[in-house]
Amino acid sequence: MNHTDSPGAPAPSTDPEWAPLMRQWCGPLTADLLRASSRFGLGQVPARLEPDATASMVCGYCSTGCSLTLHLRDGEAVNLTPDTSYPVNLGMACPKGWEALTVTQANDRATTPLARDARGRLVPVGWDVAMRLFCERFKAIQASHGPSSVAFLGTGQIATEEMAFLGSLAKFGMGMVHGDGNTRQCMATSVVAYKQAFGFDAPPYTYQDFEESDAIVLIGSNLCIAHPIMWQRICRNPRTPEIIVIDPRATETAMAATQHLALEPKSDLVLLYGLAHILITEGWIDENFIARHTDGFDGFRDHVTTFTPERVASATGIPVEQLHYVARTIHKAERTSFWWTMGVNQSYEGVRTAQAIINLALMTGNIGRPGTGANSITGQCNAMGSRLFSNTTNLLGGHDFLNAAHREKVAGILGIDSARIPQENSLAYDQIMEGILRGDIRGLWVVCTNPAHSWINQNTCRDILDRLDFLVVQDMYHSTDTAQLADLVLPAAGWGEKDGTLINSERRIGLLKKVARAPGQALSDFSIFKLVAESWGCGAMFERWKTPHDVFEILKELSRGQPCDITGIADYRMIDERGGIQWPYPEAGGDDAPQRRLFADGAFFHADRRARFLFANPQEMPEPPNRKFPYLLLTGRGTSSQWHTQSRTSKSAVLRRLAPQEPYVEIHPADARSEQIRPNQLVSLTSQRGELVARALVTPTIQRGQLFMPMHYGATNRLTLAHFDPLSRQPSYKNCAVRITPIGNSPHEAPIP
Amino acid sequence: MATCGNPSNSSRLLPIVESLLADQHDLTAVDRFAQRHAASTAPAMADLYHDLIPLTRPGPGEQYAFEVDLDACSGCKACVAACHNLNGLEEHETWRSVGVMYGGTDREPCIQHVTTACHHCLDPACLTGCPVMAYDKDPLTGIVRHLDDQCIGCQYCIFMCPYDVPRYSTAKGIVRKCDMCQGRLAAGEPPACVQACPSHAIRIRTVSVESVRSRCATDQFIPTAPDPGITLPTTAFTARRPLPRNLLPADFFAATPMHAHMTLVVMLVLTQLSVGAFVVGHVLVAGAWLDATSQALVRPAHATVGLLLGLIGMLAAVFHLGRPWYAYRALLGLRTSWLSREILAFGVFGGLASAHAAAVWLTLSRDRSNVLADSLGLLTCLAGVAAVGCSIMIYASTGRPYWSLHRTATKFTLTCGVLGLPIALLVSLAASAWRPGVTTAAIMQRYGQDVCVGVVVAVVAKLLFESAIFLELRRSQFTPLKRSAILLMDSLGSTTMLRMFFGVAGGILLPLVLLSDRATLEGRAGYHPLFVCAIVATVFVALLVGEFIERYLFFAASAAARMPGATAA
Repeated sequence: MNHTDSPGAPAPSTDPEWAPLMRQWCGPLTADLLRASSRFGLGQVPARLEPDATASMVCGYCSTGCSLTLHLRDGEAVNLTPDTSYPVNLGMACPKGWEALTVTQANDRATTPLARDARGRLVPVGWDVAMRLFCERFKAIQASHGPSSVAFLGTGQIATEEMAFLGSLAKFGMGMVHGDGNTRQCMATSVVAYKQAFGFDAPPYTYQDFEESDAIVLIGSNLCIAHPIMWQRICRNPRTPEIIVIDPRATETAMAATQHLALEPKSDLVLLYGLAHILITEGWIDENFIARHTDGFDGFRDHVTTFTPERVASATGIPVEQLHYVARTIHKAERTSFWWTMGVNQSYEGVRTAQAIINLALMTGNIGRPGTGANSITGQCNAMGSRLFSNTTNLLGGHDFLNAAHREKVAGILGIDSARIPQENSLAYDQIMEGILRGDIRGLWVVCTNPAHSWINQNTCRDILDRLDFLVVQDMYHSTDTAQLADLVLPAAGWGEKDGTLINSERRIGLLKKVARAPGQALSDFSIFKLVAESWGCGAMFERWKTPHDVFEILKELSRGQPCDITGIADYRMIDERGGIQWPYPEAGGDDAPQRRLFADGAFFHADRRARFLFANPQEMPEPPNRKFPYLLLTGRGTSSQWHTQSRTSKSAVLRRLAPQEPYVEIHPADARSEQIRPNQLVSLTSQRGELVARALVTPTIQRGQLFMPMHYGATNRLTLAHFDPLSRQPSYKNCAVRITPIGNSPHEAPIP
Repeated sequence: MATCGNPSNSSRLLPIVESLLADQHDLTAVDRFAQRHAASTAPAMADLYHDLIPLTRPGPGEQYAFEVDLDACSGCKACVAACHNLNGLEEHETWRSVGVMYGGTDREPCIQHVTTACHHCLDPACLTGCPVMAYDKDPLTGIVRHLDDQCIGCQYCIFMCPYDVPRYSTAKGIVRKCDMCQGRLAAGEPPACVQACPSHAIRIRTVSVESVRSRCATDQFIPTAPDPGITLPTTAFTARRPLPRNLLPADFFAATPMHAHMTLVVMLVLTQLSVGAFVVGHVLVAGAWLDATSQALVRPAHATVGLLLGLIGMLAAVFHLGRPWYAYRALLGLRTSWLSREILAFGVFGGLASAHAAAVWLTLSRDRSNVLADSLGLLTCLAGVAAVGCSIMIYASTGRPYWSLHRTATKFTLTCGVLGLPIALLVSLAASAWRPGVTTAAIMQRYGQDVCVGVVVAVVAKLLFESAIFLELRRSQFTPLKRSAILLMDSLGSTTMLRMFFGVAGGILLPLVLLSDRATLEGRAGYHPLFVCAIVATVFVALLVGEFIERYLFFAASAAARMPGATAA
């Protein structure tokens, strides 16, 4: 390679021959970093990694659903850059996206099935042995304890086609009744809130709304860190919007906002009712919209009369004037959009809180128009696919297990006996865990999730998983906390190693492509399900399920006539060419606009086409701070380079460098002073359930009496209190009482603040 | 209707597994899907970033510089990953980093992320320090570029750069650093970090050299960051509102030991031992301590041992290099680099020491007045002192407070004495074993006990000086020196204790044994000669170990002001 390829390199030297021995301007080390202009609109790329082709596919981390352009050589990915022409991310990606390929090359990838031997070690076995074990053990459990004694826990991180396969195989093929996903931990609340309010689980927005709002209200959402590319869309808003952040912590997003409401934790429901009260009292509501498109407003109006600004101010810590100012901001904005994430969803009254947000949008007519909406920002890359097609809470395609006509319809499309479809609803995640504790459930199949780290009140969770007669974990890595507890580990191909589709937060169906070879014997989850079907003896039932694309065809049929109708999507290629397609996209009358929102006509999905005002009285926190445990522990996202339990993000040296490797806890300077805690000192955190050690980060961005810890560290959930939203069964991770004490107080370190 | 039949036996499964695995490894995305922008060589992003880079090249008195909009940076850190990815860096290599600072009040708390890379300084310390001229400041763009093939991997630039910019690659044996993607800029494309920032917080601006100078003279760069006056960094950090005065990096109070370069530890201690041995030996020879017999006896031994130790030390330095076979380039930087000067000085020292040794051996039979050997000895001493002086300057010129001129000079000079004195005595005693004419007691009487006193004085002085750093602990301000003291007290505490143990035992307690009269008495009244030799040998070994540990701590505790980092990373 010649250094003159690089436009910036200095001119070749005209010195004598021996000169390079002394002064060497070019050579192999210089060539290693040379950049070359590339085709495919990529600009300059490392010359070593110049692609001969490209393929674009959606990222496999969060629900933003960015598209990444894979740089291919001989069909295999060598590098990637964000896709410039995709309507979601417009050429940008967060660090996780940039490093998406790196983490697939970790040396703790599961490359062969592993079975626990007589001495309790996980040892490599062939797929034939693994499948025999899988079937024999699960069948034996079912034979002695009934078919429902084996259950599964799925994920929001695999392709929709794979989720549908898992749900159908487990419930229709293997006779399981109970199965849920880790999506229960992130968006179950939004599902229930939307279903009850709109008649279908339908986030109404498109990302373009970020760019077209006059006021953007972010509730329990640290968009800058959790969804950086959505924050980019806000930055592109040309209307200089008011950005209102409702969050107990002064987060990165709160810093960038125009108004920050640092409310008391879990006082959001009161706050939202209080805002509704002011809007109604001031007459800042859209009577016309309420009358034509909603139901139940009168009851709601009565309900919020008692939420006077004074009461709300005392409950939330937000001064009356500020409440008025926010209400006025919403009123004055022509377009207000409301957005929420885990701060709302992970709550013991999250459904009502989400519905309080929906109520604000409905009563001010902020829905169905550009720049408006009551918008749930989802967590995982395919949580939205799971909501429609995982066959857990809903029967495939947003149908109902309890509805005989739905069962017939689905059975007809799948070509199976409708009697094979369970006539009861599945237990939720926490109920499955309880079922294990009671001994009702004795076999568990965990696919692409890590409950031993992520489930609330971790010590109990590990104890529960230990009680199982047979635990199968199917994952990319053999090293996850849960895989370490498994009796059988099935090695799965990961992102970039398989085909399928994902659905993002704005209902956009995006494509996955196989651009890398899975290591060793690892198989795509899809292939593993096929293999299980064959081994179990129900291969015939899935004869049509040959490829992910075949299943996509089935999913299209299942969606026919539903609000999520996608029968108009011809094939994967069409998704690829259009830059993703948002549902609905019915065969007849599909709208080809690249950015589409729901409810422009005010017609919701209830039979009467009206949206519902739903509300309830705010509840007390079950474990408020007390004398023994005087602090309230909040948990959440730490940095944009960490994802969930870090089973993937910890595999990239770059991502590791971008996040503190040790657990840390944020504490207010005044609290640090009263607890004699110095900045950066090791502290011990204790709750009624467990204990951990972390480093103190002393900062006024957390309020007095509160502590914050990122969820990515293995120990965090030792402390959390297992309590749930009664309607959505979503765990409430963000409020439990703890105490904090310094460890090994060195007199030489930082001063006590 | 499909139903569930009997389970398949596992042998029937094998062909299915085979076919699934074959399918798993079959990559067909290229064939199945269209290529976007297949024919386009122009970057598809061009529209998005045209206002992020200057339209024209810098004029006279101007250069390119990074400009970071602190208000826009939301802490996503895409810049770091994009730089890594678009430049094809090694797995662990990053050229940009993002730190975070916290502060403000309860009413207005503040989180501020700071993205930072090479500042393409007006007066780049990496460039001045480099012994092989592997740095180049482009006269047109001002970009400070590292010439990878020129680098010998001495890593001195890492010490010199106050911003911890150059990254060493063990695999390649060289450092590499940000070049502001100069090839991209030349083609009208922004650097990787600039094009990848979702909030357009990083730009390239043309700045005038004068404006950078005046800014560096008056403004703080970033709170708690190194003094911009050292290298005149060109990066501008802008914010609408002034940053809160109490804004501190998340890792401000973190004290993590720095990388200790073991080969440099060995090199520094052994070369200083060698120079010390020469100087002490020369003083003994030149002074009135030795009679002719003794001189004939110990002089060759001194000359040889001093030379050997020095050569081992210099050899260790070669092992420090990532690409030792290009070590000869190290004289290129003589004009600016103390490392080049050190290498030259030690080269001269080694040459003179060899000549001196040769002269001593060749003139063994002659009498006391040996002008050639004497003058070579003196020259060797002078060259040695100059070389140690260069060693001192290498560290003093980094600007790290723990390596300040007086700290480094005191330590290095005292090391010469602390090790030079006992080795001189040990060599004398060892040499006396070959000749029955000179006894241990006689040596001890003639100059051995004086040497022991010298050792005690040097060691006490050195230990006191080293301990003086702990006075910094009483300082209320959290300075880099205080961070060094905390390191030595806490995370390096046991090592510090060990260092003190070897110093006190080898440099104070054991020499006291030799100050007894019995060391100077012959026969039964006195110590057994072997006992004396053993004590002196133990003194030397203990002090040598102590100095190795001291030099390890010299590196490990060399805290300096730094750019903001992340929480206890």
